[in-house]
Amino acid sequence: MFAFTLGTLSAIGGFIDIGDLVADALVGARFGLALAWVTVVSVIGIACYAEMSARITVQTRRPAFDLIRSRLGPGYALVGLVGAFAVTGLLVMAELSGVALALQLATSVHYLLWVPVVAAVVLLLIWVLPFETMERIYGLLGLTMLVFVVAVWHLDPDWPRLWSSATTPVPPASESWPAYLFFVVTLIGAQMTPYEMFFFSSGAVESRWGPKDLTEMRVNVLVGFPLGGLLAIAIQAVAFLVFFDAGIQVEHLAETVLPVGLALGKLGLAIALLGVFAATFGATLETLFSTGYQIAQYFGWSYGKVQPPAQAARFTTVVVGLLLLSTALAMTTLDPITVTIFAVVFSATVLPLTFLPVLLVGNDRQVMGQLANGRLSNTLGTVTLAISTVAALAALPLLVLTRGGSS
Amino acid sequence: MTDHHSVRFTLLDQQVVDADGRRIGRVDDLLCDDPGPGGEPVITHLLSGAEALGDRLGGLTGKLMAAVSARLRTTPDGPSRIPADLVADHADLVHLRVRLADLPDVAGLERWLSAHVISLLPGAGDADQ
Repeated sequence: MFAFTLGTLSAIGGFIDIGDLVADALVGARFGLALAWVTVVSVIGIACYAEMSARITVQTRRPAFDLIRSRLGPGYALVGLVGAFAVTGLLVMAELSGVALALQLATSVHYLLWVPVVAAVVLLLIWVLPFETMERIYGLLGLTMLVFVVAVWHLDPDWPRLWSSATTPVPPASESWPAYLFFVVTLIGAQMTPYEMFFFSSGAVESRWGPKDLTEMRVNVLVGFPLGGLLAIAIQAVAFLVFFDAGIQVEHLAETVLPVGLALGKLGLAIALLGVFAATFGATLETLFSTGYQIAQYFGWSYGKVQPPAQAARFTTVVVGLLLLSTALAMTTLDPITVTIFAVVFSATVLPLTFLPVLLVGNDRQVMGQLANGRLSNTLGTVTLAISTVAALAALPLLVLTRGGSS
Repeated sequence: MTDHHSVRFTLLDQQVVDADGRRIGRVDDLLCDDPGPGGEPVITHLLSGAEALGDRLGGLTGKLMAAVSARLRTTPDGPSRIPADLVADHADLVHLRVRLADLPDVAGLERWLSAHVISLLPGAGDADQ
């Protein structure tokens, strides 16, 4: 019981990361709830693929990415590896900056001073803490994000207006169609991130999940991701209520948490900041490990935290090296919010590359036997793949056309 | 799908684990002896490592991968080989009869990083447990 509560929490934590915190607030302030439907679609899509990749692991005791190379060959897997590695690597820098920004908001010390401190703490934690303890700590702390849902009520909203905004999936009068579509793609990229899938299935290998854990895994997916989606919509809603009528644009993480401060005072703001800290910190660990998993599984290196670091030297070197590189990149004063938006748009462009092989392996009865995809998994999986393909093709043209969503 | 036994699915690209169950690499390519006219080729060695994989992939990416990997290699000749008779079982993973420590040519980068970088840090554990 305790275990599945925690697994559910880590699914929430995996869903909400810096990309969501930035994109949801930005979208809420400009479009109200007119993009809330994207979150609903994303929750269904990512839940479907997370379940599929965890089921593959339960059946084969190997993570999905591991099987992609043995079933689909090294050439295809290499394309997927390069795409996913680049995007997830960029996200490490964004998440790391997100933790530092949360600390800046709490302490008024500039985030650039926090970046190396956060990186050192991350390094120490991945060195000393076992996998499950790591997940539990940030999973529990991430629960404080629910304060965003409470804030929606405390802002005393005009409910019919919220509902009509959510059920009118067109841009408001002040916005153009290309900008609207650009943020559809941005939200898809922010909410259906491939690293959630890699992390979920590699975590299942490290925790040695077998068929008996199938129910627990499904509960985690079916409760955790929708709760994450609820949080995302709550962030959009509070930004809508506070910023939309005033015409204020969200440009900083401070504006994501500001509505909570307005609704619930200093204490609410503190809780929201703790939530932001936990979510981005957890996501830093998840993105970091995911990049290590991807490359280690492609080349067949030993990986993970079950053995001492010296017995997974190549994996450990990749993870530590990427952390140092991300720290250096963050210290260049590159704007973390801009990097986040670019990272999630690029993430949308590689999404189908990571979905397709999981769908193919999930359908491979020679590998999956009794646990092969059923009709529901295949229908949802195919629809999600189609949506993500359209988003992937439209992402870069829209990025250029709207100049990063600014017009 | 038909129930075939092509090496493409049963051997090539599979995960290699040593006698201790430690992941040491993948079957990146295979070495066969020359069967002569009419004979069936016999697999003599498994090739493992990015050098073998790069050679097999070909193209610019493959050449780059092979060149970088060859440059990092400490032993003089070619991609690292594992004699085929050391394979105990390859039903799912490719299990070897020996430990990684008994295969001095395989996973050189792993050993080097372990000995020269990771083991120097406190709490890294023992590379050879």
